[in-house]
Amino acid sequence: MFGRREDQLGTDVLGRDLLTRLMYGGRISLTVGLIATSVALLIGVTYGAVAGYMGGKVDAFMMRTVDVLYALPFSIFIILLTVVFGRSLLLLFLAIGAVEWLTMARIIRGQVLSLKQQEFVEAAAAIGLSRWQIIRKHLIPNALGPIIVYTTLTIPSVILLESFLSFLGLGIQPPQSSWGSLISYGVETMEEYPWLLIYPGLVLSFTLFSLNFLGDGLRDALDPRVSKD
Amino acid sequence: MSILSVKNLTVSFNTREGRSVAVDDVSFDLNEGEILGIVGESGSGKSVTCYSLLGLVPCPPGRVETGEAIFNNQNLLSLNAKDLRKVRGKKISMIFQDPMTSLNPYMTIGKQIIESLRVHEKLDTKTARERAISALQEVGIEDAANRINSYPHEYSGGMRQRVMIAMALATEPEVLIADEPTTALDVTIQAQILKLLASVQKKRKFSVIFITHDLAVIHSIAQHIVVMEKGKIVERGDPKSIFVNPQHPYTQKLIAAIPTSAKQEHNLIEDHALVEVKNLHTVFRDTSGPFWNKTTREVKAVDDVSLRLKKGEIVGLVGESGSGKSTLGRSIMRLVDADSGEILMDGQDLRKLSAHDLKVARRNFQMIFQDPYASLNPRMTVFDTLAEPLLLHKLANKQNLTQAINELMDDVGLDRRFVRKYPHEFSGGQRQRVAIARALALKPKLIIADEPVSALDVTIQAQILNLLLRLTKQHQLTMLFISHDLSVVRYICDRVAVMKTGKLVEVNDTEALYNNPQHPYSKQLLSAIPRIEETETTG
Repeated sequence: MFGRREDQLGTDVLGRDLLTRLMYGGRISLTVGLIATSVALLIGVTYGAVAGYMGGKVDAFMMRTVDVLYALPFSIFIILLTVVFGRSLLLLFLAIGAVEWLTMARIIRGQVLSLKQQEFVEAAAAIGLSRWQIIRKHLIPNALGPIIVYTTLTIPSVILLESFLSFLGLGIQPPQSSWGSLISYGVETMEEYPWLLIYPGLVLSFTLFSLNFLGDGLRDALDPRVSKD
Repeated sequence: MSILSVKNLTVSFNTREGRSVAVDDVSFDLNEGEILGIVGESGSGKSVTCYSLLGLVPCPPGRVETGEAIFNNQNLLSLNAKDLRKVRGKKISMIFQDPMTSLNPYMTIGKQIIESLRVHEKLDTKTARERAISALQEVGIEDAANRINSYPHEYSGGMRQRVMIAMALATEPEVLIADEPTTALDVTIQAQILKLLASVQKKRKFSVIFITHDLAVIHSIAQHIVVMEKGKIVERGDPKSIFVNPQHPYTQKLIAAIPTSAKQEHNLIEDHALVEVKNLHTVFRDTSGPFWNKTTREVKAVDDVSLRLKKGEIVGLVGESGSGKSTLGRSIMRLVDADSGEILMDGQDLRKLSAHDLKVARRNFQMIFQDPYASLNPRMTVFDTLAEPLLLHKLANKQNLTQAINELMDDVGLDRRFVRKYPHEFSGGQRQRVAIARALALKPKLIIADEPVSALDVTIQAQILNLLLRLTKQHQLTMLFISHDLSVVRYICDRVAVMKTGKLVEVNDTEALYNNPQHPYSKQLLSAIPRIEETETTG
């Protein structure tokens, strides 16, 4: 049904109110986005920075490990995890994060490789800072720009990943909803009930736009070189 | 007879802070067959002046406000893009500062010269090739017929600049604009390139605009000199009158800033050695090839170097790029691991220290780096930059941190109010002061200064040198001063060590070395310094 006053955005086939389902779904989708991305950030930034700064054999070994993980089919990896640990929402978040950090690690490594050539890193070593202190205080802060940009790109891809897993039956199950699962359901019934695809799609796009603006704003706010007038 | 006549040229840029005038009402004439020097510091508008003649200033943000540039009865500034292209590269050629980046690394030298020839003249490939070879021969490249098929990376820096000159001259231009053509080169190579330019110019009789910040360089080859400051021409004349009798205060300041004299005052030098380097070797290994057939090439960057630094003295370390002088400094700093030898400091071998002891010992030796734009973390305020070493070595606590930092700021002549600023808000000279303050924060005994003034303008350079002299005296510092600039070294150092391909070839007191170099390489190096004879003879 569509257009009844009580259901502003219409209802689905079973008569469930779409607005309500979207609001409930937002809780899951945004939580997945934040937690999984934080996990990816934490692992990816640390791993990439260490690999880039250490260089040589350590770097080669660490990056080959990343290559191997890249080659591992992602769905099999998560199915394995759910088989071993049972199904839980938290595990789902962690599993997605554990897959998404690979690209982050590569990006950070590249940044650190070029940053560590700069004299201020040598100056920090000359003062007597330990390697970890140099990575934490001098390298990571200067890689913040790409980190933030990539983070805002990771959140949407994580939200969509969750819908893929739910579709496979590994994520959340009806009657629970998430934006991703609402969209995939909307695709199935697109011809008869287009609003079931349009509204979840709009909500997701709006979120992604906001995240991009937030990312740009954060990057500028955290960069002292951008004047604040 | 003037070939290019610039009148009332004004160029401005729209920036975030509003409109800024880069070139302000500049007029000059370039006569046929003469070399005109444009001298000024960074930001004086000397490059923008010449770039705007060829339409190379990006518009927007740039804008040519007024003026005309008459060349062959044409006003260059009012030509459309197509007509301007016919002039650019054909009638007026340019050579740029950095020969490393101005050649395309994926094209052979020959192809690049032939390309520029064929764009401007309808030549078949064979004639273009012959012209290219003769152009290369003219700039002194031996075996040009074969070398023409090499790629830029197979040429050294000096050779590449020769190629750039050959390329610029191949189309037989009437005017050559040379924008700091020798700044990126070693002093001996610089002397060769200057000689080459002067001799080719004499033979072919074209006109040259030579842009430089280095008065000594321009002095030896120019017939006319124009001095620019903040977009304005402040003085013009022939080299002799400008150097002997400068009128404008800015010109006087520029000339006074050239370190010509020997060191005036020596610090109290104690006889015992603070640092003793014995038989130090540092080898770089470069592995290449696929993993089943790896070849390792060894480069001896520091090859059996022994050096004593007495307490309180400033020792200069000179040599060309690639001679290993920076690696020696970094090996002593333990930023690069040496392969064998001893670095004794107060009797303690720095190479044998444990990680913890090394961290403690780092208090005693600090480094000042070359590029003040790269040596400060752009995301840390001056306060954080200076607080870091103090807190790490527990030389200050929360209560007296601000006071300690204020003292450091006073020491290097920076306003205390600047502590909350970020590096990008400072000029190059101010940044270098911050970097010096950071090195001083730990009250070290030894400072290794790696080309600390070579990225700075001459007037700023003089200020920083005097600051270093004052600080070494005040804090009884010992300093290893690494530089390729021999006049700077003469001004500041008590003793000088000459380095070539990883080895120390000569170590002597500064004046003894400059007046009577023993090793052939020292002689070659010293004879390459561009000199200002007139000022020296007239006093």
